[in-house]
This record gives sequence, structure tokens and C-alpha cells, in this order.
Amino acid sequence: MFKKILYVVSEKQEEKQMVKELARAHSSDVLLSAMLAIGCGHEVSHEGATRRRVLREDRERKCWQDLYRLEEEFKADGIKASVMAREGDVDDIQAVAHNTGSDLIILSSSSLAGDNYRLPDEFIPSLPCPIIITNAA
Amino acid sequence: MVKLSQFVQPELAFDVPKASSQREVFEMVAARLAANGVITDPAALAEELLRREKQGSTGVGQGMALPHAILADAKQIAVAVVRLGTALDWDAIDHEPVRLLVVIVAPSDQRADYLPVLAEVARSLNQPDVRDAAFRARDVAHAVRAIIHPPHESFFMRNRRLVVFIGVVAAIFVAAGLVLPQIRLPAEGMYAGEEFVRLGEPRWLFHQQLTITLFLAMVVGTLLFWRYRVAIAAASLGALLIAGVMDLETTVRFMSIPTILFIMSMMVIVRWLENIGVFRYVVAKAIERVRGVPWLLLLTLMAFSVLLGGFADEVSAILVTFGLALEVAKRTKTPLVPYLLSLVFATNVGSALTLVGNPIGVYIAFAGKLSFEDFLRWASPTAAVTAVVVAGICLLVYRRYFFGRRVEFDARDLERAEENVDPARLRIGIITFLVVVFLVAVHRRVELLLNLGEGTALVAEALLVVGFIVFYEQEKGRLLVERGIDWWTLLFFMFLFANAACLEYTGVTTKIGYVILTAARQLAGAGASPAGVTSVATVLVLWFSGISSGFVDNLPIVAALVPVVKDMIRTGLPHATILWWALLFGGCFGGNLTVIGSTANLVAIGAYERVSGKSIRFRDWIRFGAIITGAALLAATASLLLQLGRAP
Repeated sequence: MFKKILYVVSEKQEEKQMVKELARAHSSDVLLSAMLAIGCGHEVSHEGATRRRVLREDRERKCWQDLYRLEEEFKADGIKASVMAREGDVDDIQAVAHNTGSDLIILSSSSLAGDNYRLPDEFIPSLPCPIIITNAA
Repeated sequence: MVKLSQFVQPELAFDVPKASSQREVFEMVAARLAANGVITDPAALAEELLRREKQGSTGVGQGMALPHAILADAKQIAVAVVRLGTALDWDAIDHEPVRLLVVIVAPSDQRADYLPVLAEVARSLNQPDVRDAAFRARDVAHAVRAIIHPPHESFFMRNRRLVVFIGVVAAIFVAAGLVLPQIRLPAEGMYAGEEFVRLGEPRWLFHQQLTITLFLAMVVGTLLFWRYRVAIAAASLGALLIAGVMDLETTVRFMSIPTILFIMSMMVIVRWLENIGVFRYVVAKAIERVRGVPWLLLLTLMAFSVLLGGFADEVSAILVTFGLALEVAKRTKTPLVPYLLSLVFATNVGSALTLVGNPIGVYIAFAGKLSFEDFLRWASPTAAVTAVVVAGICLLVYRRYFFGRRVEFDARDLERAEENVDPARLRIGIITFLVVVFLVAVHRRVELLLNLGEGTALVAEALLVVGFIVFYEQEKGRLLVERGIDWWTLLFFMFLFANAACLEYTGVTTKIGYVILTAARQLAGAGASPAGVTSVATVLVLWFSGISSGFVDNLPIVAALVPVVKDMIRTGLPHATILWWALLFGGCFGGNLTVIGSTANLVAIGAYERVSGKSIRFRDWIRFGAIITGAALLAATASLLLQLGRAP
């Protein structure tokens, strides 16, 4: 039923387990993704420009490492997985889902921390596929 | 931090002019790694890379793939860079064929170091400038250099917009100091009054220099830092107050509160109608009737863009029609761009149709004391004719998508438009919309009947309808007012109007008006009649506002030119009220010139980017936008010059 699952990765172990089980049950491909503006912490505004750049690059490195570590884990469990990271916010998930032809989106509510745990207006109606929002708590 | 230069060796980078499969590419990579002593069993590596591709594509999108494997016989971590002469299907996440491969191989005992290398390669290539440099590099060695040493921007490059801004503002200040004293008004006719004579005094000259510098700084600032437009406009106004150019009372008067109240009321009304689904319902119903004929579908959507642009507002118009165009394009398998551009062009032209279509129309109406009926007489026919011209050009340019084929288009596809609508609310919504149009249309007659000041009924009627809506919606009414009104934009308008009116207050616009009139007289020739001068001034105002509105927000341009037009009318030029319409058409039609020309363009581009993940480049837009704007301004020029003799 869900040929391709777009999973916006989070730290939660139970969530990863759920995605794996869902992927196994539906023989799905999993697209492990990170939106660099939402998935990797927030800007440190009081730092200088160079320092901010260095911190941002470090966060991006960590993001990519997490993604590839997870890819190894999924592949080791026999689940087809690919990775991707984009600069963007929760709003941009719609375009990613559309461009990648995803059938299901899994998003942790912790990814919405920057938006005060609120989805932007018109987010849900404009999605091309269903979404599961998991509780970060 | 991992340094890629330790792992990327020049001898492991190569071009593959032609390859027909992943296997072929992997075999070449494995052979190269074996030749350089990184591995001993090339066949095993090729098989491992292929096996991992089957477990999930390593195509990360944008034409790149990062195949990676851990191999027992690898001697060290190695990174190979391969450019493909022929792009290869890789089942990448964005379905784009791959042109650049970066292959990472690591021995089993260096698993801990392998992930950071892989992450660093991915991070580096995720940067658009690195990716572009790698693709554009003249040879593979330069591509490798771009990946290893990503270009870092200098302080000036990082802050180039701020540097440009400061430079431009300083240049404007100096230029204004040099030019303004040179513009001397003749001490005769209208300019003989004391209020004009004092404009040449040093104090007033300094105020003029400061005012025009701050106003143009605001225009340039909003162009460069759009997100901070309110801050820039507020700072500019604050500077004028501190410098003693205006007092507080005058500043508040210049904010044009009646205009703001009317725009605010219309925002509530339009948002309410949008929420109910009135616009979408009406347009969807019309589309259902013309299914199967692509060009009629486009024309119908364009017609509604014009009408909604004229009677609601340009943003609502584009959101409704482009929203439906997305569905139509998907189901008729037509590219989105023809719909996007055609509908935006139609919306901008349509926004000149009536008084309520565009904030510049509202501002001109209040400044020129023009009624809705004046708009119906002077703006609507020209806007309608121009819309026909624009529709014709769009159909001609995009004829291959809309002619010579019938499409399968099922009306049921759009049924969602009806399912989501509550029939009772829809009825109320449609009736309210018709009442608003009627009340706005007869506002001048109401003012005459009740002996009210000009514009009073226009504001009062809009406020009455807002009152009804808030009562009708009960608890939701408060939310509607809080969220339906774009307070940010309204604040910007208030600050902008005050800044622009200050140009009039200090006499800058009087001088600009005098320069335009002088230029018009010279262009018209020595023996030209006063009406001839008006004709030339009309063309100057129309084309100047049209072209400049394409590159900066049209409201500041119009707000600055409104006092100029007022002054030109005061000089006693015959038929000079035609200049109001020249200004309206210039401001509205000029919005089609570039991507940033109007709010409707930005809203439509935003929706297009969200849905497709692609964008339209500035130069691609301007290529077609220039034709449309040129045609629209020509149509407006012809219309205005033909009617010049009938203008008051």
C-alpha cells in the first residue's frame, strides 16, 4: 500500500522501530530525510557570522552521519533505504513528498519545535499523501 | 573534522564519456581503484556496490549519486569522483538521471572513520555552489578541487546586499544634494505662491535632500531586504521625525487612514469569502462546463483571474485560479508554467479593473477623489481590452499545449470544491459579495444623497459589512479579524504613505512634477497645444510607472507619483485627470514585467515552487513578461490618448 515512505528522521528509537515495521509490512522503500533547518537544532543567534557558519556545518555533518548510520541499520534489517537532506522547513516537506513520489510521510512532533509545535496553515490540505505525526514526548 | 583532501586522490577521478549501466560504471571504478592499489578484487567491489544499490538507491538527487561500500580487502578509505558524459538512470530520489558519482570505499576495520567521510562528501555536495562548480568544471580535476575546497565567501560577498544598500543610499544623498538646488521653480503662475518660493531656501533644500534619500533608501531597502520592509519603512519615518522634517500630527494625517481602513475591511471580507469557498466554488463550476477543450479551460481561468483580480484582490484571485489550475494541469497532463504565467498576467491586468482590485487603485481613488463609477468609466474598459490582448498573446505563445488536442477531464475531479462547502453559508457568502459590489459601486451616490464627504460612504459601507461578518461568525469573527487582516502589510502601507506624502510636504514632488512637465513640453515641441503636453505627460507617467513597477514594489512608485500627478493637475493642464489612469495602468500592468513585479507573482511562484520543487528564473520570466507588459502598456497608451479629449 505504501510503496515509498518519507521518514523525516528524529532521535526516537521507538519511532525508528515503527517505521521499520511499517516498511516491512508494506514492502516499502524508506526515504530517510532531514530538513536541515528543522532537524538539526536551531541557529545560535548571538554568535558571529563565521562561528555560526562553523556551527551550521557541524550540525549538517552530524545530520548526514545520522542519516547514513540509519541507512546502514535499515539495510542491515533488509529494508530498502535511501537518504536525502534538504535546506528547508516543515513547509518544504510538501515539495519533497511530491518530488519523490512518497505515499506516506512520518514526521516527529519534535521537528515542529521551531514552529511552537504547530503545523503551518494549509500544510495538511496541500500534502500529496497521508502523514503520521508521532509524539516526541 | 574530516579533511576530504586526505581521501580524494587525483588519480581516482576520471570522466566516463559513455556508459550504459550501473554495472559498467562500477566495473570501471573498481578497475581504477584496483590499479591504484586501494583494493585487490575489483569484481567483488563492483558486485558489492551493485548489491547495495538494490537495497536502496544512492542517488541523492540533483544529478548526483554517492555509492558506498565497506570491503574486507580495501587497504584504506578512498573516494573516487566520476563524471558521466551521458546521464544514467539511477532510480534517484528525485528521479533525475545521474551525471556525477562520488564513490566511497572503506576497509572493514575503519568503519568508524568511514561515516564521517561519507557525511562530509554528502554535506559538501549538498551546497548548491559546490554542486554547480563540480558540474561546470572544465575537467574532472577542477571538479575534485570544487568538492574538496568549497568556495568560502568573503565578508564583503556575504554582506554584499548591505554594502550595495549603503553605497546606493550614499550616492542618492550626494546626487540629491547636487540636483535639487538646480531645479528652480519659476516665480510665476501657480509657482508664484509663498509655499513654492520657499522651496529654494537652504533649510527646505536640506529637507528635500533628506526626504528623497530616505524614501529611495526605503524603496531600495524593500527590494534588497523584503522581509524587513516594515522595519525599513518605520526607520525611515522615525528619521524624518527626529530630523524635524515633519511633526507627529502631520505624519499621522499622511498615513491616509481612510485608505488603510478600506483596505483592512476588504481584507476581512475577502478572507471570509475565501474561507466559505465562494470564489473556488464559482470558478470550479465554470470550469466543469468547459471540460475537454484545453484553450477554453485556460481562457475561463484567465477570465476569472481578471474578474477576481478586479473585484476581490490579486492575491485571492491567483490563489483560487492557480489552485484550480494545478488540478487541471495535472489531470490534462499540461505543464504548469503556461497556466502560472497566463493567470498571473491576467490577475495583474484585472487588478486595474475596479477601485477595489489593488491597493494602488484604492490609494489613487482616495488621493484623486475618484469614485467606483469613475473607475468603471475610465479603468474597466481599458483593463478589459488589455486582458483580451494578453489572453491572445498567451494562447499564441502556448498554442502547442492548448490547441489541436482534446483532453480527458472529468468534472468529478473537482467535486471536492462542492463537498467542502456548506450550502447555507455559500448562499450568504454570495449574497454578501454581491451586496459589497453594489454598495461600493454606488458609494458616490450615497455620499451625495446623505451629504457626506468624498470617500466616507466607501469606508463606511466596507466597515458595515465587516460588522455583519463578525456578528455572523460569532466566536470565529475575532479569529477572522486577527488572522484575516495582514497587519504587517497594513503597517508597511501606513509608513509608506507617510514617507511618500513627506515628499509632497517638502516640495520634492512639486519639483519632479515641474521637471516632467518641462520634459513633456520639450518633447511635444514648441508649437504644441496644452493638450499635446498632457498627452506626452500621460505617456511619460504611464511608461515610467509601468517599467519601474516591474523592478520595485509598485505601491512606493505610485505613492511617490500621486503628489506629482496632483501638482501637474494643479498647474491647469487640460484633461490632466487622465494622468490618474496612466498611473493606475502603469502600476498594475508593470507588475507583469518581472518575478518581483507584484504580490500576485510572488504568491504564484511560491505555490509553484512548493508543488513542483522548481522555480522560474528571473530571465525566463522577463522574456515573456516584457512582451506582455509592452503590449499592455501599448494598449493602455492607445486607449488613454484616444480618450484624452473626454477627460475632465
